[in-house]
Amino acid sequence: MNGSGEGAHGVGRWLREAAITGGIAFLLFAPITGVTLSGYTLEGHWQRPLWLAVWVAVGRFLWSWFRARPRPSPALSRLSGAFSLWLDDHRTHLILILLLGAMILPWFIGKYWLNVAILAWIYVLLALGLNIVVGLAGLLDLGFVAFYAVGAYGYALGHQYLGLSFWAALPFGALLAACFGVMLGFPVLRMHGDYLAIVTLGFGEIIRLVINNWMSFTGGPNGVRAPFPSLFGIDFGRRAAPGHVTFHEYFNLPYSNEYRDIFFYFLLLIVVSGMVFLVRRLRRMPLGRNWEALREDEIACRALGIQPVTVKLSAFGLGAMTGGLGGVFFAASQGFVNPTSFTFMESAHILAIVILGGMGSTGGVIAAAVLLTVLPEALRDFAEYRGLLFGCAMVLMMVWRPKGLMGMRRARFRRSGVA
Amino acid sequence: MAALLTVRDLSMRFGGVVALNGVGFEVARGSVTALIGPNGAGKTTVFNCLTGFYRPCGGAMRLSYADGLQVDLIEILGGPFRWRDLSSPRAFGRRLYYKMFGGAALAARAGVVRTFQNIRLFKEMTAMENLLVAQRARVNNQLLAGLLESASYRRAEAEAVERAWYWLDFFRLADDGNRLAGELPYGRQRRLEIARAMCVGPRLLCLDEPAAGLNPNETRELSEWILALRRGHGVTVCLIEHDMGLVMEISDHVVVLDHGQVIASGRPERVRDDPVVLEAYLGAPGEEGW
Amino acid sequence: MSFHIFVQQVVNGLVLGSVYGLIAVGYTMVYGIIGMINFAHGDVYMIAAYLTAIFLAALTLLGVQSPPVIILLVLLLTIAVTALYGWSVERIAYRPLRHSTRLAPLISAIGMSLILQNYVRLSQGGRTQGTPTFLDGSVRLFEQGPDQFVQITHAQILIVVMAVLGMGVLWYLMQATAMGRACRAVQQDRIMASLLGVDGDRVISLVFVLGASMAAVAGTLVTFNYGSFDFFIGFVTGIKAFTAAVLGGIGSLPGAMLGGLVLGLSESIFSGLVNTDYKDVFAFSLLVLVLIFRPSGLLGRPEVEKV
Repeated sequence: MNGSGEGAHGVGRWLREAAITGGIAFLLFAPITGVTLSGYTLEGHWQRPLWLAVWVAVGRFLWSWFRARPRPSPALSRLSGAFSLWLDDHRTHLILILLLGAMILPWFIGKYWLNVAILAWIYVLLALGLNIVVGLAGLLDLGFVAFYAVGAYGYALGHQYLGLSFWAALPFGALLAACFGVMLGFPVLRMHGDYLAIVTLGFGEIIRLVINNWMSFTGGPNGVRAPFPSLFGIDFGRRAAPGHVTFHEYFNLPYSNEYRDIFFYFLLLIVVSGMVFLVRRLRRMPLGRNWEALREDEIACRALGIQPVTVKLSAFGLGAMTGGLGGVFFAASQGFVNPTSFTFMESAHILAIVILGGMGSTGGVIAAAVLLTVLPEALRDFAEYRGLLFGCAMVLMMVWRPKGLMGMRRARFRRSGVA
Repeated sequence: MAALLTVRDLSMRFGGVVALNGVGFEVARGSVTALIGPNGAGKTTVFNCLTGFYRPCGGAMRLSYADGLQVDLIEILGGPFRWRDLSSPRAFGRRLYYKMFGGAALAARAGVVRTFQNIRLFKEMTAMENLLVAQRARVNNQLLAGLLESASYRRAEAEAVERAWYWLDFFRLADDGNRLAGELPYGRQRRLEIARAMCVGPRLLCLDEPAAGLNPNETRELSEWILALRRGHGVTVCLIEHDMGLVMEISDHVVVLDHGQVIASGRPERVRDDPVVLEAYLGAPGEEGW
Repeated sequence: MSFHIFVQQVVNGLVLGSVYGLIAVGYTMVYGIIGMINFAHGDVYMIAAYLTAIFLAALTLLGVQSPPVIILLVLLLTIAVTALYGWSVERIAYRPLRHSTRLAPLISAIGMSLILQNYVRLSQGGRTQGTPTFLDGSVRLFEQGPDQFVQITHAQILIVVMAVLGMGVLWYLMQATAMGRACRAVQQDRIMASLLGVDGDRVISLVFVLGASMAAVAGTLVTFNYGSFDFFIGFVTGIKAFTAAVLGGIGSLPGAMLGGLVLGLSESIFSGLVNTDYKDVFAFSLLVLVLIFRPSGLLGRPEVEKV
């Protein structure tokens, strides 16, 4: 709390605070975790709230101790300063190495992990899209999953009713999602930040409920099939449709559906790389600067002649478009879509990625997306506690580092030769 | 000198509170005009109307530039629909456009640019970026040109950076170009905000208490800068200020507001000796000066 | 729609509306004071539903028989623990962020909502739970034949009575006590109130506690009436209650109740007239439309932007 109460006195106060916090925690945990409903009677688990309360008390003590410590030592901050300088100098190299690593990865991991990697790239794509909206433009969109759903269903239904191929569905799904984004954004973007959050939340639910209930068009909970993409008319199936060639026949290879996944992986890698390029460019462009300016101070923007509605719409539309693109890929990779993939939890997942990645930082967002997709697969227990950990991560990040772990790297300007 | 800005009968109410009641004044082209008055007199409300943040309940605000361009600031704000609009699709279209996209942004594009009493910089962006954002009209805003870094885009960008450096030098902020605006000391933030306003390319620069919180040295510098802006950059300045020393030194014309009305206006010396003004400030006629 | 069905839907709508109103109070009070949506409020209501079932089962195990005693004890215990949850939400997700960026408290509150949901899911299991109906019995009105009547259950009557009572107590607290005056002062101008010696932090905590208590009343009553719930009920109900708060004019207590009733009635009549599947879509669309066309709500005053 304050730096004055140092030493033994401080420790005593921390202990007292920790004890009080633990006591309150016990009161909170006791009825919910201490007894569980089983039918109309109860089962007791008295050790659970006790342990939880003890952990909370210990956590509280450590927190006080941590906060009372002097600022990070100068050696440490020098080190981190040197590191960020090094990173600045070698950024291009690092990106190339990572890209290379991502390119050779499919040959070293099995089929199962290849599919996990594909999912991870889809989340990277989605998170990059949401990052434009939340991280750069500062608009809290809690219904991002709506655009993801529009993309996925745009492909699946487009295929079913219009016979759209995957390649046609990519621009179609992206544009459709962008249209939805602009349609929602236009009236909504004049709102206060909190209202925007809840309206987007409601919009996301509306989309999901409509998909779920409109049986005759969307198939409701039964879902819709979404076929796998072909490569210049070459199929990846075991047998080709009449008049088509399959991949393994064409290249005289034994059949394996791994080719298909590797092809898809590279396709996604290209799209994600394109997206990373786009976001990095945009941040240095007038549009990207306007997004950030809008996040910082809308009134000042208006005083400088910047029209908030159009700037916000562009962020919202571009974010929605990326979400739609991710949706098309998701539908194709699963071969099937149904409404359960588009719940609020999915929006929360993507938001958690953006927040953990440090709102605005492209590299951080990519790292967080990969981490949060791979971890639940690697650790089964993690999957069970995923929601809880996302929630804790959001709260802790906001309390501890609201601007992200690394902070955003700013463009530096030098004077040109003419003085 | 001809009037750049003519304000007539401006009135503004918030619920039952009358903030402005028939305010009228003129700002001569190339002048420094000060808006003074006790706290709550409605000075900032006048600014908010001028710069399009509030839509006045009545009155007229008109800009007329030396090149003959006339701007009706009220129309820009997007007034309520009138029956007459129905007979004229053009008028209807204009009103609809201004309703959707009008307001402060258009006022700024028309050349009325302001600073704020409580500094409003983009704190998490560098000083340079602050100045670049302000140059919306000059940079190449096309998405594709930017993504492909076309020649015209790069040229526009380089010019914008040059201009930003010019204004940083002008306000002695050259060393702070790449620092975050929020990290600058207070006095520099004030300067940066004026520099940012200048980057928009204003014809009428509205400064809301530019000297608030500055020390006497900084205030003196500020008055030199304001005069230099008017002299060398063709800017007309309209400012709200409580520092009477500054007002007396630099303004050509002073407008005194009290209770939402103009109680006096004229040359600074004349206003200073006006008993009505003294009464407004001190509550009763007295011998104390400012 | 026949007369009886219509009246039945109106009755159901009023009951539903009272519940929305009770929860909306929490949104509206918090928004009035700190200008933010408490995204975890719906989940506080969900916790109250669980607590009700747990306390009900515990009292039954202890052999308490008399319904009025059970209702009173369950209500009091639930309010106490739920209020503590509300207080904790503020302490963890809002207070440390009082001077942070605009987005930070919003995000931490969403995090809090996820924490509460998953915490309940992990400790109580993900399946839908139930309580025995112990308040059966009903009143029939306009009876004209075997299928021609309007039925009001005792639980429904209890809901409306308790909602009115709860709002009455809250209204009294806000208007006639020093505590309420402090709340209203902070709502008007937090800095000025703190200069006059009102502890802003305490008032904000208090508002969270009061809001959670009202959500607790709603949770208890709904559990008595419907008897089934899961860890996710706070989400949809939360958005709807927020809709009610906006509809009535956010920041206004009578507005929250009025908004709740209007939303409950229109939702119920929509279900009767059109379609039950789309009743949530209807409510959410209403939210979007109100925020677009009349963000100040029925009883609120339009906000003047501060420059």
